[in-house]
Amino acid sequence: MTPASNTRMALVCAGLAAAVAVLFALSIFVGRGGEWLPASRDLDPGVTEIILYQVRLPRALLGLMAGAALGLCGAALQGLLRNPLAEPGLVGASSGAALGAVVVFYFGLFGGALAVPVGGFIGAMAALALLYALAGRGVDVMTLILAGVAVNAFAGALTSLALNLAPSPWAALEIVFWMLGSLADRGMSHVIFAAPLAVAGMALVLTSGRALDALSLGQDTARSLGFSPRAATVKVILGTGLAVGAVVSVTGMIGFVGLVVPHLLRPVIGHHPSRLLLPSALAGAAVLLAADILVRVPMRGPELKLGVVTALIGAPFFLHLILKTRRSGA
Amino acid sequence: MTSIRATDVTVSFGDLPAVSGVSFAAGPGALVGLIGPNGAGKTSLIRALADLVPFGGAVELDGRPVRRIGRRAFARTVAYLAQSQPVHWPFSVRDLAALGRLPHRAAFQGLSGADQAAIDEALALAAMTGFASRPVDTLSGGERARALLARALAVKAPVLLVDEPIAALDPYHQIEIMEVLRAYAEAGALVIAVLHDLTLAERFCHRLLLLREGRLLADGPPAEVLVDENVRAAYRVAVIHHVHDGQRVTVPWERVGDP
Repeated sequence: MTPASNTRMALVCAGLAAAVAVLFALSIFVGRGGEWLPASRDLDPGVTEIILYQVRLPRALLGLMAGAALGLCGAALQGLLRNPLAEPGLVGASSGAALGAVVVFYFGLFGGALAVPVGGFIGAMAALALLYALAGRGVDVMTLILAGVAVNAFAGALTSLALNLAPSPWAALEIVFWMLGSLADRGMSHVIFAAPLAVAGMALVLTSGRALDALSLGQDTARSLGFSPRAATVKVILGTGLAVGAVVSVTGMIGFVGLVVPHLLRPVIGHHPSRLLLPSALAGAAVLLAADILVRVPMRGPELKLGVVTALIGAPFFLHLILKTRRSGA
Repeated sequence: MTSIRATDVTVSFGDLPAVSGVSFAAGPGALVGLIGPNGAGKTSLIRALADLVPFGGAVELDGRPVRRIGRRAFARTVAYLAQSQPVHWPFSVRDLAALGRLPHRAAFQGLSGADQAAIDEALALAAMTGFASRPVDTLSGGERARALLARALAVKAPVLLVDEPIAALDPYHQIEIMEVLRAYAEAGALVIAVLHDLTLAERFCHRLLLLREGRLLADGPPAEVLVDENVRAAYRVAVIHHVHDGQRVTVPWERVGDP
């Protein structure tokens, strides 16, 4: 951490923040087929205002928030588990949120616009509780990973069961489409629901930075440097559960952003988990906003789902990562 | 300048006692070798001194029980270098050493001038200045051991606990590390090192603690501890002694039957 690398870090953050600002503005003004809203059509100013404030703004805000949460939590989990293949879904909050949302769909519990997000968030918290019960109070990395796999498998199985027993093909279709992940057709109430939870979760994760640096030398050395591995684990897991649970409850599953973003940044700003946190949040927001603009570009056919696009781009990258890791390990 | 006092320290794993009733006191300016055969409890004892395992009895720093010392203050006072220390990310050597400054930094605070000076000093002491920008995963075994030691030295703690710092190193690098530990001790620190090499322990340490089956079998200057009777009792090995440049050299020579 020389002064030169601090300057680079500041430049990267400033550049990413600028990119996020530009993409946020684009997300508000660019519509289907890439048309510019205020200029291209001769709309009633009232209609334009409704589109901008009630459709595009919440969509852009959700993109910003979901991308930041996924990027930040991905970087923190990779640091906590000392594993470059960790991603936010690992703690089970995403699959728990999906299950919670599916239960709401399945039983037709449409008590207002927020029924699905509330159900999703309850599911995410249930998944975290199950993770805690399985992994126990210990901080063993392998136990945590295996417990996360078990929680994900169980939540996935229950989601499949709900699909299997869906009362009508329409219900099943609705569930599947929701799970594909999207920022479309969300309103300001979704933003207001998710924002406090996401911000609280991200704040919790951000405070773990120095402990994550210490943990890169193993638990004993982290303790000898004055950090509690258990406290760091609780902060990261609970923070990820809150933040990712909240955004996934609103957006549906959006894969690979949390996995890929920290890897994009390591060549530029190094491997310190603490230094990756803020840039990963910014880059996550930039990537998700960009992907959400991309899904609107095709003029015809159904709008692409955001989760589909991030997975289409993320999966080959993941493969590349595994191959690279294997080559360097061999 | 910090002294350590262990009183009746006991470490157990379930019903298995690893360390039973060990007492000693040591002060600044000394390199103390913690020796004994495999399974004698050396690592358990040094981990108890570092407050990393639950233990019975008492460990005090300058008369204060370690459990009454805050986590951060303790981390600034006692540095610990684990046996076969993992480094999970390919940091540069300088960034690795900088992790030793974590106990001195507040949250979201960068490295101060004092931190940078301590890192420079630690790298110089461990002869790693020229390697500062090299990623840790490209280092040889000897360079890596020095880089890890630089991380522990960068804490600038008055007490340094090191677990087998010279295992798996060639003689050149073993001697080099022992010289660094001795120099750090003679600059005013207390260094306690778990060692297996009796010859180097005798050559570099001011004092040796010999453990056998979790108990302190002998404690004193190397010439008094490494007598044939003690080494036979602890290691089931006979030693030969030689004098070189006026200093006694002890070499483990052959196995002997159970005492």
